Amino acid sequence: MRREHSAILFFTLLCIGVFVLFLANLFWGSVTIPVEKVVRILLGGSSGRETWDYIVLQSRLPQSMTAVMAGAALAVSGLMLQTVFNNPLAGPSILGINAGASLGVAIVMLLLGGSVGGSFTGTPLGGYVAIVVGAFLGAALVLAVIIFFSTLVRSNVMLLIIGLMVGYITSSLISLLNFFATAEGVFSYTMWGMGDFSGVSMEQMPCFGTLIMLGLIISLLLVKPMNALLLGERYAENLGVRVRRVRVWMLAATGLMTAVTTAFCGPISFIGLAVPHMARLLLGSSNHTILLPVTLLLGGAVSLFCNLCCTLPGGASILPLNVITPVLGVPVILYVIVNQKRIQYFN
Amino acid sequence: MERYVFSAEGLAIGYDRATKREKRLYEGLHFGLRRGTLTCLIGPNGAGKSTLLRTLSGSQPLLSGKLMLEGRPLESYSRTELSRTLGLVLTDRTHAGGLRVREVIALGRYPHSGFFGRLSAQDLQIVEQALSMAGVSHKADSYMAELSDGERQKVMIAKALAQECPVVVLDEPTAFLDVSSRIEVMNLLHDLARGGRTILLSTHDIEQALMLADRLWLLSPSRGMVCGTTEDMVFRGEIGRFFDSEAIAFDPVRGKFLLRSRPQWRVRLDAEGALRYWTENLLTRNGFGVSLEENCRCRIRVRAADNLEFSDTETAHMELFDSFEALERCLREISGRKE
Repeated sequence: MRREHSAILFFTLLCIGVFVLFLANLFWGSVTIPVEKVVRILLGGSSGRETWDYIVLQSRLPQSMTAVMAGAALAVSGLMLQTVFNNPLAGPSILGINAGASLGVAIVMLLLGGSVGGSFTGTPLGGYVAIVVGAFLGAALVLAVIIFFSTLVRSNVMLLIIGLMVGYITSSLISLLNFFATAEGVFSYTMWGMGDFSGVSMEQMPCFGTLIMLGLIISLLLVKPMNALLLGERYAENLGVRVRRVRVWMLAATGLMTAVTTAFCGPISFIGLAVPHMARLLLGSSNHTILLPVTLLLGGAVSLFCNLCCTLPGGASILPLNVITPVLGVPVILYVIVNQKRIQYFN
Repeated sequence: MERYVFSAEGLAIGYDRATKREKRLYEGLHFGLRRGTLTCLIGPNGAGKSTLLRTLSGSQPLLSGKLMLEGRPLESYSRTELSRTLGLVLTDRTHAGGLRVREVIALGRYPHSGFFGRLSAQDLQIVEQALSMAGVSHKADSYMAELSDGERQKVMIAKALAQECPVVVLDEPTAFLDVSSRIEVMNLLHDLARGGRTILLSTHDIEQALMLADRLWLLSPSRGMVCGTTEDMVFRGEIGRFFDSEAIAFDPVRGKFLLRSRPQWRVRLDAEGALRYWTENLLTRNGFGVSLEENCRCRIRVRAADNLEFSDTETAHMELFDSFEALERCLREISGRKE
């Protein structure tokens, strides 16, 4: 009984945390805007300065919303990959799914000249839609390769190495594309590759939000079979789980969420790998009924925090996201690896 | 109710059904699994025990023939129906270390609960019953990772109990367990069978099987499947035929396998009960046989474990030993001298 209470308390605290970090992202930025002005802008009024109105409503607000959703989506993707491959070190970046999405994006950006932002408007394939589709196809391709190898290779470590190999192949293709691309193309691809939550404009938000929500809802509906999968395939089958069908749904949701976030925000590392571990360590449970919602919220909180860190240091310039996420993620993973004998969910 | 939970006629099992690579391990198997019994499936490594159990539990299709579960063809069962009829316990590694024992057993309610897996008060009560039946109530709040192998196996049995299946199939549930957990798990299964469940398990532990199994299924590539009540199997010599080789022989008196020995020397043995049993053990190990003839030259009389008397009637030589160790030293000397 006490444990359930603590889980609920934890959940509430996390909700408050996400809310506070969300506000912090609205109030804090490279341009200093007085608190009361931000409040007035958010309440629908005007601060008197058009640039401030624009910054809060068209830059900080969508950026914060993107951060919450992208973080949640990546964290949940990571958790589902760890469950479906029965491998606590799986994650969208380790298995090369990020890289696959990047390849799709590179093909669209560098070969076809598309772009997420507005700078390449009037592209033949309709801008960001083409990039999202490209990312999804790339992610799906890598997932298919990984699934194929997972039927041949039983060892978890080997599968991770195969994921890394697939990642190398895709980055070699991306290098090739970069080599033959125009200077502007390479520049915009490189900027995209550093990771950034500011890639989603208010106009694109409904599309981004719907796709992410779709992925998250599918994952939340799969909580029950995910728990059974922890016992392994044969036990799950005996409990009446349609293992193959559940796997396909899990991987489809993972592919969708990874592809959409990668297309808009770039290949963000470590949130998908580290957040599920943080959630399990904090909760002390791998029961998906509570673990999945907590991972979702924690992913949102962590990426809001990372986004805040990007603007904090100098104030003048904004750091790329992928400068921050490994600094946060690597210690978590190292801690988990070093202590794996003592951590329950490894055994 | 039918007498048999499973019945098979002309069953063929193996791999890769209806492909070029189709490999048939057995054809024309004919057997029935009796309701409310503990049945042990025994056979050498690679005999296809797991394949048979996988076929029975529906994880692998049969190749041909008829296989009925509760009077209906196994193929006609939906996944949920099957999961409410047949519970499975394996030796597979699970990744449930971060779940608590109660949560794992609650997964047994999976086929009975709704889309989100919410458990009713009745479900929770069944989980508690399963916990206490399997004797793991005191571990209910422990993580799976904290359990010993034996406890883990009991939890998986409790999971199968929470599934409320009339049949529980276990693939080598006592492999990797130490002796005491092995006995505990087998006793638990025996009690469950007495409580009306039908238990089928594969095992390598023949002595345990002989002690607790109601029925034995012996499976080997050379003889196919032979079934029967344990004692019938012993006296019909099935067990002997099944395992005997150049090196070992089944001893129906002791219910275990002994090294085949051709004693070079015989002695007369005067001893009772445990003393007789263990003295024979010592003699056999050292190449001596027990003679029933009155005029045997050598004679051993054991009155207590520290009072062992060896006498040679020809030389009237007699010696007294205070331990089996000392007696063994003497026997070694005799056999060594004669060689």
